[in-house]
Amino acid sequence: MKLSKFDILFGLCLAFIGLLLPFSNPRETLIQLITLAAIWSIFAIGFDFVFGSLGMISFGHATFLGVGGYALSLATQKYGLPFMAGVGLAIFLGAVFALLFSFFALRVSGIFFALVTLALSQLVFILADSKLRSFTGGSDGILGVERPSLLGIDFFDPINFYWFVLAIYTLVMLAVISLRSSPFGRVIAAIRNNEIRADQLGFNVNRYKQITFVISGALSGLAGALLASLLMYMNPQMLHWTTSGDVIIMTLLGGSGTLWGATVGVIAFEFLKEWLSSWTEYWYGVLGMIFILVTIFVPRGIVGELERMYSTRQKRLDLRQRRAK
Amino acid sequence: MSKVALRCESVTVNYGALKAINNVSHEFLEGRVYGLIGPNGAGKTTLLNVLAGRQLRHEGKVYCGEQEISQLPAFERARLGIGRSFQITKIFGDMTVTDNLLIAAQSVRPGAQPFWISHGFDRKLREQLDSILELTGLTEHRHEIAGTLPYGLQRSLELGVTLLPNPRVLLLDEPLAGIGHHEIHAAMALTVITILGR
Amino acid sequence: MSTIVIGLSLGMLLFLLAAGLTLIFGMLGVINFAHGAIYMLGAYVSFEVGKQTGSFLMGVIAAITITGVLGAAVEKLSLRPLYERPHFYQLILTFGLILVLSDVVRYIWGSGYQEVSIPPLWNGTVDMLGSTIPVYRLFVIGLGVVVSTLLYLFLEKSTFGMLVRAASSDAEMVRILGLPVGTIRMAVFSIGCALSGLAGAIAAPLFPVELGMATNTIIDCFIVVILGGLGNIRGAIAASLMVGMVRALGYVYMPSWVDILTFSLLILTLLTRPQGLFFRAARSA
Repeated sequence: MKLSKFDILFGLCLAFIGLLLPFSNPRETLIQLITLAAIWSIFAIGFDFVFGSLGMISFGHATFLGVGGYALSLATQKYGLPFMAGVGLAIFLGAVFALLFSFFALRVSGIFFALVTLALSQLVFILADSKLRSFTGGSDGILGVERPSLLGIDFFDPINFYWFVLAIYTLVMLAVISLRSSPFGRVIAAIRNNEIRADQLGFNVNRYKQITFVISGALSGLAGALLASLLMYMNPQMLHWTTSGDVIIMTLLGGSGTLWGATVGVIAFEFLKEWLSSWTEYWYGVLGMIFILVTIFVPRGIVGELERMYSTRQKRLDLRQRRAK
Repeated sequence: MSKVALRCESVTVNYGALKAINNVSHEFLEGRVYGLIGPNGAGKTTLLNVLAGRQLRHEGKVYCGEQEISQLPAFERARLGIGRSFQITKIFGDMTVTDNLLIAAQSVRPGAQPFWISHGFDRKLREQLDSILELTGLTEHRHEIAGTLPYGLQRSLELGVTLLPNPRVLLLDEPLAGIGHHEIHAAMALTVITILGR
Repeated sequence: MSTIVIGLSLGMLLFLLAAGLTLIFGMLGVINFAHGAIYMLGAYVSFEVGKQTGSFLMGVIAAITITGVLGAAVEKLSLRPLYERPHFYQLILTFGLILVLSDVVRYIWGSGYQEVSIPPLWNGTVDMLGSTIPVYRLFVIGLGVVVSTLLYLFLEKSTFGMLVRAASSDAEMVRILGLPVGTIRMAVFSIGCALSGLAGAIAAPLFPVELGMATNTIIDCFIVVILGGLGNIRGAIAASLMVGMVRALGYVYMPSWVDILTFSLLILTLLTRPQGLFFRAARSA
């Protein structure tokens, strides 16, 4: 899938806002919010890798997120490893758990796939909460998770941490753009379109799904590590299946399968949450209602609809140009 | 004495109580054209599925050359050079004609694909497309979305996608199925040219 | 002995829940994530009405009615526009429903937990086969048997049940025959939700009635439905009894391993017989 004009334009807008933000003297809470949004975007991108590209709903992504968070927290707190090693471990473990899950989940399809990932995810949550309490700190969690220590920069300053996260987010987006336009990405799109055909042509469909799932897990693990570092705290709640539910909502709000949908969905969710919770404590319920309405009336999500409007406008302009000739 | 390209031996397929294929054995020699003719429900597609690897639950054996492939899944058979077109068109509906054919070209080396943007790789692939585009009459349509093509052209694309990897063994499942009166001549011509070209 | 009774009663409760879920999936192809939330609503409604009227029975009837009506409304207003789309849209919509229902309950009743006492009619214990068994547990088992029998008679022997089975097999055909597919779907979803509401009302005297019910019970529900086979009601009975017994025995002998046992059973099943332990080839959504 080549990069469309819409993708480039939208990306430039986001880059503009993202780069200028720290210079507009923002409140600390706003910087924290945007940093949180960038981290969740990485998670949502990871999730949409499987959902948007292959149409597989996974409720297991909370596990990869949580495993990443624990990897960083334990690596730095318990074993005194440097921050980036912890991040590397988070990515690695996210991938490993995804591989493990895929082994069970890819034996079945559709609804069963979703339920298997849900069951596996909940099992990990229960283990983290109870049996592995000595390891994870149980529901009390792990306090005081580190910030990166690079080049002597103080990353406890929210703006510095924001730049760090933004840099990682940019790297992730570049990787995703590359993947989507690559021959590999083309095969994934083909599998989505017509799995049987891809299979008959000679592609090992199961292997491709597995690889996609593993990449997705790695990204989620990365997000988990960054999240733990942002909150400076880690607990099993990240592993609960409702976290997977949240990322599904965000992805659908923004538009699954699109390049910028995950990011927009996260931003929309976080801002809605901030706005709604300022006038009601039942913001989650209202958000649920909004989500239901979006599912029925705006199934393509925000970015999906924008893309459609943009391409319709382009076609109309093209038609007018052709008529003029 | 021609070599045996494909061989099936005592193949039986049961769907519950229904015997779709009953103890079929046949040798398909290289360089020959075979037609499988029969009324609806005779089991033609089922036999094709057994040969192509879509139907693995069967008694009996299937050989490709000397190698037994009875339980080999479809994607592995493609790597042995078995190509197959479907009775119900299976093309990549949301992708352009060019992308459809690029996938077919990529399938020649179905292992690791570059996961970065690679212009050199794509250029080499595109060179293979021109002859197939001409053969199937899709050159003017190459930027169109496959699913929006008229049915006859979709069938042509189906054939194009099957032919591009240049399979040693070509299995065509009812290539003229569903083609309308006005498109039938072009479709037949294409099928004949395809077969003659081998 | 009392452990067995507890296991059976747990199993029956699970069955009431799972039956609704598997019915909805089997007939409509929808995985109702909000099933646990509706169970929770049933429990809260029965608590409130029971408190206001002093009658447990009224509470149960109110729970069944309100959840049933809610189910019908949800089907008509939100699920119906989505039938033409891929299945995951419906699945995700029901997830959104959990959020809405949870906050509605929190708005009305707050975040604390409520207690429902066992109705005086079924209070007390009975000495059976060497153990002291709470009568209420026997009531739950009895109710489960009655409901499953009624469900079986309804689906297999009644005209409406036949329509439901036909619509699940080929909705288009049923519509062409001039029969009201929309009404049938609404009725099925409504019945499924009502069963969940009933389960909530019956469970209320046994467990603390609180918000966590929405997300905790659904997992057990799914386990039962997967083990029994999606859409397979007979399988659901067997699977719920099995899971109920595993839980009851687990709580007595190795309480910290109960959940892990249940999940391991699930994972094992998924590896060996993903269609469910009691799969019948005929069933498909």
